[in-house]
Amino acid sequence: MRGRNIATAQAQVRRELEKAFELIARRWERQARKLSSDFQGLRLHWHQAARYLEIYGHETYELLLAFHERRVMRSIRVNTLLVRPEELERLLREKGLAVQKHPYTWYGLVVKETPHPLGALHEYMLGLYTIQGPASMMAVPALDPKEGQRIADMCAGAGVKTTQISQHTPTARILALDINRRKLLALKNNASRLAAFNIVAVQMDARNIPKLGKFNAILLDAPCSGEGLLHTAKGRWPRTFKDTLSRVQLQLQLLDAGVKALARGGVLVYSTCTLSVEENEYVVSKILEHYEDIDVTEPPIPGGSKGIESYANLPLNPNVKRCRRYTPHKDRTEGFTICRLERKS
Amino acid sequence: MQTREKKLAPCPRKAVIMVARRISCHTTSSIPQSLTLYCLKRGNYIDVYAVEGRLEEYIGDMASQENIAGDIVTIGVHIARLVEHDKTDRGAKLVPMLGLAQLMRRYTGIVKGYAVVNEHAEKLFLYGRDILQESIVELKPPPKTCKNIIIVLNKQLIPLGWGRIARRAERIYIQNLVDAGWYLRSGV
Repeated sequence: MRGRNIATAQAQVRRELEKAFELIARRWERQARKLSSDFQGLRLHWHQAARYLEIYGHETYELLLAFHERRVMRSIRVNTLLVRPEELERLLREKGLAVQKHPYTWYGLVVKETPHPLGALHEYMLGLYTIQGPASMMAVPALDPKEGQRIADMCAGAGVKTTQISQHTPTARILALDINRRKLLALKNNASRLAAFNIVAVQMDARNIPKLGKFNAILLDAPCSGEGLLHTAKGRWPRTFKDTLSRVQLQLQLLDAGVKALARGGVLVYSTCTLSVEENEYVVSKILEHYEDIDVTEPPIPGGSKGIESYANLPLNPNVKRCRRYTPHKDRTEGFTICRLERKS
Repeated sequence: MQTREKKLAPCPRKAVIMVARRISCHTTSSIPQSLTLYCLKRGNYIDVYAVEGRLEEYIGDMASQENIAGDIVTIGVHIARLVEHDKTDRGAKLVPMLGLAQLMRRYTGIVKGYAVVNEHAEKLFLYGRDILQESIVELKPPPKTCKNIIIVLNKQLIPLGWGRIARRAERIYIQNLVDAGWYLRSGV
C-alpha cells in the first residue's frame, strides 16, 4: 500500500467495506430488522442498525437508541474574545436562563432551561456566545492550536469551529475553506458578530488544499452520514450501506489532501458527527497505511471513550484506540468522533 | 471575486485615512498596527475589511495566490463601506459597519462619540428602530468634525450598532444607521 495514491486504493476500500458489511449482515440482519421496526420513529434502516449492533451489541445499542433528545446536553460556547464565561453566566441568569458549566471545557455553558430561543437573545446577536453542540466543542481543544501558526479549517461551513479556533489563537492565521459559498457568507457574518479578525475564507474544494502550501494545524470536520445526530429529528433518515460507502470515499480524499498539506510536526484533527467505524477509525487506518510519518496521538481533552480497535474484520491500525468517541447514552452529547493525527517533526 | 481579477487589494491611503478619522471620533488611538485594511470594489462602492497580518500569510505565497482555485469570500471582518456620492464631487462617504464597532471594542476601547441606552431602547434599536431622548442613559457626543455619528451601547457597554444624533422640536433622538440585528434580518 505504501507509495500508492489514495485514489487508486478506492477499489480496495470498496472491496473491504463490502466484505465487512456482508459479515455484519450475516450476523445481525434479523435483529437489525426488528430494531428498525421497534424504533420506527427513528427511521432507522436495518443496514445502519446492523452496523451499530456490530459495534455495541444489542443491549447497549438499544440504550443508545432510546436516549431521548431532551436528555442530551444543550450547550453554548462563550465567545471569550468579548466576554468572560462567568460574566455571561450572570447576564443569562438575569434573563431567566438556568445554566451550568460545561463538563469538559471552561468556555462552554450547558443550558438547562430557557424561556427564550437561544438564537433570539441579545447576547447572541451581540456576539457574546454561539450555539454549538457539547461534543462538537471538543474538536478544537483536541487540535490545541497555538499562536503564530498557520491553520486551516478544511470544511469550515458557517464557521462555528473556525471562530472557536480564533478564540484559542486570536492572532494566528486561519484559512477557512468550503465548497459552499452560501455557508461562507454565513461565516462572514459570524466572524463579524464574534469579532474574529484573523480568518480568511475561500470558496474552494478542500481537496485542493495542498496547492496552498503547508499548515501547522488543520481541522477537518468532514462531511459525514450524521448518524451521531439520531437523537434529533433532522438526524433521522434511513441510511443504507451505499450512503456510508460514498461518504467514506470522499472522507478519504479529504483526509489524504489534509495530510499532504500538513507541515512537519503539525497536527491534524479529523472529526465527524457519526459513530460509524467505517467513517472514522477505518478512514484513519487507511491513511496511516499510506504515510509512515503520520500517527494517531491522544487528544488533550477529557471525556468520551476510546476508539474502536476491532470491527467486522476490517484492517484497523491498533493506534486508532487513541481516537475519542462521545456518545449520547454515556456522555449526554451528540454522537461525535475525534481523531488527532500528528506528522513527525 | 477571483484574486486573479485584482479587485481585492490593500486599501489605498485615502481609504485608510477615512477609517482612521472615523476611529479617532471614538477613541484616542488609531487603526491597530497589527491589522491590515483590504478594499474590495463592488460596483459603485468599496467594502473595507480589517484582518490580522497580511493576506499572503493566510493563502500562501504569490504562486499560491495565482493558482488559488476559488474565491475569497471574506477577509477578517467587514468594517466599513465607502460609497461614492452620486451627484456631488465630494468624494466617497464612509458608512461604518458593526465590525468597526467590534474592532474598537476589542482593540482600542470606546471613550467618546457614544450613547448608552436603556433595556427598552436596546430592544427597539436591535429591531431597527430609532431611540428617543428619554431612553438615553449617557451621551458623549463626538467631536464636531464627526458628523454626529455615534456608537450605540447598551448598559453593559456592548456595541449595539451605529446611530446619528438628530434633532426634532428641540429634542434629540438617535437615528438607527445599522444595528446588530440587521445581520440576522438580512437572511445571509
